[in-house]
Amino acid sequence: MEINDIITLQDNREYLILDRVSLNNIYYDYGVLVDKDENPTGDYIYFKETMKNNEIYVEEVQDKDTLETLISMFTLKVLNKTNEEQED
Amino acid sequence: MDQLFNIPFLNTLESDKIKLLSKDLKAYKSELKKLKTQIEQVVDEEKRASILKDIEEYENNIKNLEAKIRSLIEEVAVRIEAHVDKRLDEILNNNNESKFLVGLSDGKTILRKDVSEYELLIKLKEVLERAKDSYDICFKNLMFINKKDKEEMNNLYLKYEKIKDNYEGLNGILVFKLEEYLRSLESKFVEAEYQAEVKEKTLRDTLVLKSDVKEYNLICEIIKLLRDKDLGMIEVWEVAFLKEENILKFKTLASSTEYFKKYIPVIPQNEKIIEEIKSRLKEMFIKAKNSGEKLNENGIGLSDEKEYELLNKRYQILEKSRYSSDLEEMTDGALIGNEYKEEYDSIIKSINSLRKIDEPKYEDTLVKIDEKLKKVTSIRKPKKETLEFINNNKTKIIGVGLAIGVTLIGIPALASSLIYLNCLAGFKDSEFVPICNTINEFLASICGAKRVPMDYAPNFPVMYQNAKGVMYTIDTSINTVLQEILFCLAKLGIITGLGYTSVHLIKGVRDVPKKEKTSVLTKLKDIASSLKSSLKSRKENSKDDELFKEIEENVNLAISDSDKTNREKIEQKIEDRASNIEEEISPYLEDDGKIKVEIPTDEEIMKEISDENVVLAVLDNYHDALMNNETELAMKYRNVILKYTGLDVLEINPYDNIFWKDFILKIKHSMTLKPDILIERFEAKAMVLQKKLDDGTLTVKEVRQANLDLDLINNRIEELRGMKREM
Repeated sequence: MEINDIITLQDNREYLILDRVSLNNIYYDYGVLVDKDENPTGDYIYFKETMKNNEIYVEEVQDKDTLETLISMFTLKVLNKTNEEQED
Repeated sequence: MDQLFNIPFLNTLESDKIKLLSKDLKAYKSELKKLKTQIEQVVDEEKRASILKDIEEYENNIKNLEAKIRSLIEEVAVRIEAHVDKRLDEILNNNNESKFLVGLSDGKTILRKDVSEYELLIKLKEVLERAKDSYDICFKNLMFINKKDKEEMNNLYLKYEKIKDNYEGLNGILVFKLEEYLRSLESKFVEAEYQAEVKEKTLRDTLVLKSDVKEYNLICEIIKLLRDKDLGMIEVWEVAFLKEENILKFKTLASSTEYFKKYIPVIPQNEKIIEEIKSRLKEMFIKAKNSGEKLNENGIGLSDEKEYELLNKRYQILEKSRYSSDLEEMTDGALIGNEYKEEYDSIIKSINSLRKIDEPKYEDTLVKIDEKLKKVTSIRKPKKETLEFINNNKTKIIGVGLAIGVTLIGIPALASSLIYLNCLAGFKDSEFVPICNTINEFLASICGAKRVPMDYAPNFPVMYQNAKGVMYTIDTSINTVLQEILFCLAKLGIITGLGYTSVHLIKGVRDVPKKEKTSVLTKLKDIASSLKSSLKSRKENSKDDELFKEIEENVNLAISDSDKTNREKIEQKIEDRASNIEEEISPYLEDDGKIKVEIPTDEEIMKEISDENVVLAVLDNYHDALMNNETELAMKYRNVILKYTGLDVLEINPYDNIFWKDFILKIKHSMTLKPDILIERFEAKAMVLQKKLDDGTLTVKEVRQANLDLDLINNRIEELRGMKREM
């Protein structure tokens, strides 16, 4: 899975992957639900990625501490990027 | 990076030749001009004829030179272009079987490490293309380009310099520490307690204890890898940056050393299983001891021998997986390196069958997966127009989601972080700085706070705050509760003292509720309650128990209500504090209870933030920068500390708590020293550096750093002498 990929889940919902981070050797994705025309909706989600029997599964992150850490990590990435762009 | 160093435009025989010929050309042209002026004043026919002959000769020479230069330029341009094309071709074709791929806006996929070089080469190619039509200036005496591209070439050159500098600073501190470590191994040689031990030669022809040779040589090999140059190095174990092809070698070497043991991250899931294995092995030993059964050479009963071997193998794979970069979750929850997964799976099956444990049925597993996880049925790239929309609005799309996330985890907690960080001058807690800084910046950006520009730094304390990026001017429209909370926290003792920033915030308050005791009490309780919840999660992650104990005591004082006596005691204490508040805040209040809008004088600011606190805060910043691998920034902080204390933080292992605490004490002591003593300290340091330079044993980079340090030290000595005279 990569940033800007659209993933389809078994319930047929489709998510655009906005960003990814690795935390304790596990990948977490920050995504937004997209409609049939691939337009982002207001439903944002944080996924934990898991491999089972050579297939990718995702699980919504609900633990508050993990969520706080992830939001901070993604925020930091955005800020760094914005700062770099401003410097350029 | 090697390829970049070899880009022909940076230095070639041809470009040297061009430079020489251009010089000649200039001389010929100037001579020709002189002759043409001269001939106008000469009447004598014979003389005129001679000058005309010279003029003709010069004109021919100029023509020849111009032709020669042009041909050389074309030759160089062709060579550069060929090199650029060759490198681009290599980069585009060198992306097989790598996990570190990056998709570019032009649709091509290349290795992450090649991105900077690729972009630089593409731009250079464009400049060369344009120079084919016309060239009118010589760029840095290296190549000829179109005048319009001068700025572009300057940018490319600066970018190249930046990449080079970044590389040079990347592993600098680690290599420095490793060299120190090697020296400590070498120095054991002369210590009395090791006199009797056998010594052996190392790869560097030095002598160390035989027991240290392996470690020494491994570290030498690692240093070689760390010195290897490349663009876009990849971070490993949050400690080193390596070329992709060297990562495995580094991990293999480093995992065999004592030095790197602490850096190899443990996998929590595997640690649990390792504990289980150890306890099972213990059971086996106890059983063997008590049963009277025949034992094998490991002291295990023969009936358990098979399981012992399997557990041993399982343990080894769990340990080895720490060094794998590609982990996969197994049925027992362990994260195992992809290369061992089949072996591990078969071991688990064998152990289960030995213990007669039924494997979970596949159907059951599926049901379990369905409950918790959602299967990804397909992964695809978005449509072209979607991608375009996303790229154009990415910050907005990401920002909205993060803002929602911030609301989810609670603005009150974040609000306290904002004021918390703005008050760091009074509150020393480096543990929280990075996370608070992150949250603070984001919160500040969504609530309209503006960062004070870097050039607004009239004095050192303000410069320190700006350097960290934590000082904000707060718009008066921001919820006044922020300021109230800040004020109450300061008075509660949770934030120690009112720093400049606190006062700066308070001046923004336009209207504060009446200051009746009950109102203050209620407010304190509310604030303390929200603060406690925000601190709770942090406390679990913090190593600084004492700090939290102190904070928690303060917070508990404010909200405890379980024990009546205790509560009365606390209420009394809070009331005392509240009445103190009235007294303490009175200088800041107008007659009608509103806060005075006054900007503190420079003197007041300086009084609030002592030099010692500033240097200690800079030390915190140094530590943070180091942990975040911002080596360039870390060096800037290191220089500030060196300048004010004469102490070099590079000599201290930041991971060693004891040395680190000792260093803080040294800083505190240094800030009390008189100029005379400091001058002596700096002079001694300068002598050591000069001796190293004279010995000629330093590397080019070390020489450069030593010279920079000498400049800094000499300037500081001059300043201190000036201060001494003023005293």
